[in-house]
Amino acid sequence: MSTVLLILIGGLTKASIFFLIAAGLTLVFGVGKIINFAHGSFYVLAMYLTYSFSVDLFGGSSYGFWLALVLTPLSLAAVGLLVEYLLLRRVYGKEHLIQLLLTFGLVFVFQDVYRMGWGVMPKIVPQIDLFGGSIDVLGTLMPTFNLFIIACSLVVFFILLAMLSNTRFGRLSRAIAFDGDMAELLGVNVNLIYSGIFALGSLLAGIGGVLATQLSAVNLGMDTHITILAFIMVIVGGVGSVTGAAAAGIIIGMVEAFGSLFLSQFVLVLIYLVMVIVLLFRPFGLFGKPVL
Amino acid sequence: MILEVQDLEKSFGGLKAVNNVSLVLKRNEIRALIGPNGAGKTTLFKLIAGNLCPDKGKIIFEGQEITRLKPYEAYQKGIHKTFQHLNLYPRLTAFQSVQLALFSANGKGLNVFSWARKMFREEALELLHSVGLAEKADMLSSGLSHGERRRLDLAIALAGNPRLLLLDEAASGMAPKEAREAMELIIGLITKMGLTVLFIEHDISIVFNVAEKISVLHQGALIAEGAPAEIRMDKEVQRIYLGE
Amino acid sequence: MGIRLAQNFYRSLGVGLFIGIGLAFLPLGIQGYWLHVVMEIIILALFATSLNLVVGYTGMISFGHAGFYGIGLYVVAGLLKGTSLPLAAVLTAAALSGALAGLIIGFLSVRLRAFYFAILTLAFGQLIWAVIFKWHGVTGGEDGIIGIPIPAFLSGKHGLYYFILAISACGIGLLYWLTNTPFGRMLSAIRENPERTECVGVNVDRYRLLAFVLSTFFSGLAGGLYCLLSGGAFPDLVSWTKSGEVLLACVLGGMFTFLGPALGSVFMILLESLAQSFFTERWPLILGAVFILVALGLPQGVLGTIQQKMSFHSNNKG
Repeated sequence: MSTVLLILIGGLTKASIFFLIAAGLTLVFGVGKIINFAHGSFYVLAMYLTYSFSVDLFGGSSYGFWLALVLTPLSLAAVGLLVEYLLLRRVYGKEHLIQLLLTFGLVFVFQDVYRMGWGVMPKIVPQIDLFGGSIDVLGTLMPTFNLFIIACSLVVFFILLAMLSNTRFGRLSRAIAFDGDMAELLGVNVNLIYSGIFALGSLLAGIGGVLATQLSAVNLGMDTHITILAFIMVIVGGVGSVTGAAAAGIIIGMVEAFGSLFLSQFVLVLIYLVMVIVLLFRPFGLFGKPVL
Repeated sequence: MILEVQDLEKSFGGLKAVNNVSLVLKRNEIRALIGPNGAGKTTLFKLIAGNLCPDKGKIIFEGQEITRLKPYEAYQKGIHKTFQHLNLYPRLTAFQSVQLALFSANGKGLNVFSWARKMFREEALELLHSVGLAEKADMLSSGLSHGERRRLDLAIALAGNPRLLLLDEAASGMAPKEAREAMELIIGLITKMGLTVLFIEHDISIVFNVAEKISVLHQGALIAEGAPAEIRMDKEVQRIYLGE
Repeated sequence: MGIRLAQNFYRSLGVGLFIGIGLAFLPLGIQGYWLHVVMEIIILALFATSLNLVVGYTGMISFGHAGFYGIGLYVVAGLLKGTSLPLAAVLTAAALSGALAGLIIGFLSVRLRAFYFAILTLAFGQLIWAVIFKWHGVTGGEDGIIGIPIPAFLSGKHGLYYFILAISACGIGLLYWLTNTPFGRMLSAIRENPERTECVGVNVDRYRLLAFVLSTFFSGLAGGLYCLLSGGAFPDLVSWTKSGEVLLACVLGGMFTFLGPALGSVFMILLESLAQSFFTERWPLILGAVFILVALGLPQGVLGTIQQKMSFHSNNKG
């Protein structure tokens, strides 16, 4: 029983990180209609920045991490704004493959940035101490940081939902996702919304990156892997749907957690299989509508 | 009779776009379909051409039931259509656009053994000539003017001798004079080729000049049918078009 | 534009012969490493041209073509190592296996459009990769298959080069023929406007499936050829990065032109090997910068932009 509970918590922790990444990508894709293959690169950059805050500035103490939790997502939002303003703005509405070429180029540039800034060796952010590391839930010792990650992503989930349905920015974003040309005709400053959504997406990837440093080391090759995973979740959940991103995050997180227990050889196969099956039966994803 | 529509119905959500419509078209007839915006004219076209599937009713074409055919199957039966919203091939030339319709109409679409460039050359050029686009044969569709694109759309639909031609506002978006000329061109071609035509047109003066018979749709239902003179006198039609 | 320029049979034949003869005399000028690079280019050119039948001509962005390439690669590796079949039969088997996988995956995918099609093919491609990566008993898993016996007649001085050149030239030639038949023209029509094409009597999904199968046939062949060059089969050659690389070759060269993808392959491989040999440290930065500049500056790709300029000038004169 307690093993199952632990795996469940492990799966939900992964699901939380996945959700943060996928939610950012699904908004960028759904609203901006842009294929951002560099989304995972933002996430990895956030992990490296967290390392610098935590280890380089604070010698590995927890204060560095808490500072990073605030500053890294904000820095990522700034980087996102810069990239959007300088590059992506020129390819909105162009062929998907052109966007792909551009963001693929960004992936390479980022890879070199990591190498220049942090070298080729994997970097480990020290685990922080949170309520003694574990707490007792129903007779099982639960790692507190996992619970913290899950709580964080739940908070983000509800904030996002509230923002999309209750704020002017959220309503305009949904209007643009539905029909960008129409929204522009009605006088919406579409470019401003695009910038905002891209900054928000990068910020979410940033939060995911900071939290993920507590689960694994940072290394050079992980950016594209996470991008592919994020695209899978966006598609499984339905383009533009935050709820879908959460559902897909949980599915993929659970497949990884329980799959690695029973079929560790075939976790990868399982993930792609899940996606193929979902797409065959629901071509627009679990929560998606045909928009593209 | 060439086309028989029986008790056709189609709803979108709660809205009945086409409500219990029955229609009979004789061979070589030129029939206009009119009605206010949202009357269900384009939906009816889509049902006949296979772009939509009716909820109820039957469509019989030359004695065969075609109710549930796909668009390409309806085309293969001889039902060709033009589009209300221009729907062409931007990166192909006018010549290539007509040529590919000829490939399809002649069952050559899957041919991988011939060099395409010279095939159906005369036919394609003749079609372009007949709609007045002979000079523009090698222009990309994206480079044609609005009126020229309308005519290219028509040439594509005319390729391969249609048995029934559906024209969805073939002259829309043109200046009144240009529209009248376009319509005259179309009617000239139709009579010369001996086609059966069902057409949607907003400009009532064109309709009354050209159509042999007119069907009037209102809120999805067929409310009147008859020769132009009869339609002009019809109380119901007057009520709809002129207000109570 | 592209489609219009590349129609005259004799002019195309001339261009093809010119490139072919040039490549045939190439071993007189270069050897060793750079000849190896040229062989990589030729194989990638075949792969990219086959992919472009669906991407540029039919308008279906396949992001899983490395899967079919990989099937060809592993079929050749397995057959050469495990059987004594003649090379012709082995390569035919590679191409046919690619096409068979293409038939199954295409059958399930062609009804999806645009980006959804891209992601579904990506998933299938990765599924093939994951199976290859994990099925240790058959594919050697992470280590791949090495030590493949290359047939004796290819071990002469330039035997392998001419073999790869000849097969690839035939493949590209056949693809060129295909794009200029009525079938090829229908594919362009489907790319431009699938809804309209359905309304001129074309069963669009069937044509898309056929194009996909033909494309995967030649991708399987390209994968098989690559096995002869590398002397082994490795899972890295099957992963989505390979799908991405070949897709970018199409975009870089110009996907609305027939020779664009081949030209893109030249750039792709040259860039990689130049950057790796001369800027060992900074090559990802250079590669990335080139991609970004092309995306912003030459959205039609290199050859596409050149052709556009040319046709603009000829239109102005005539």
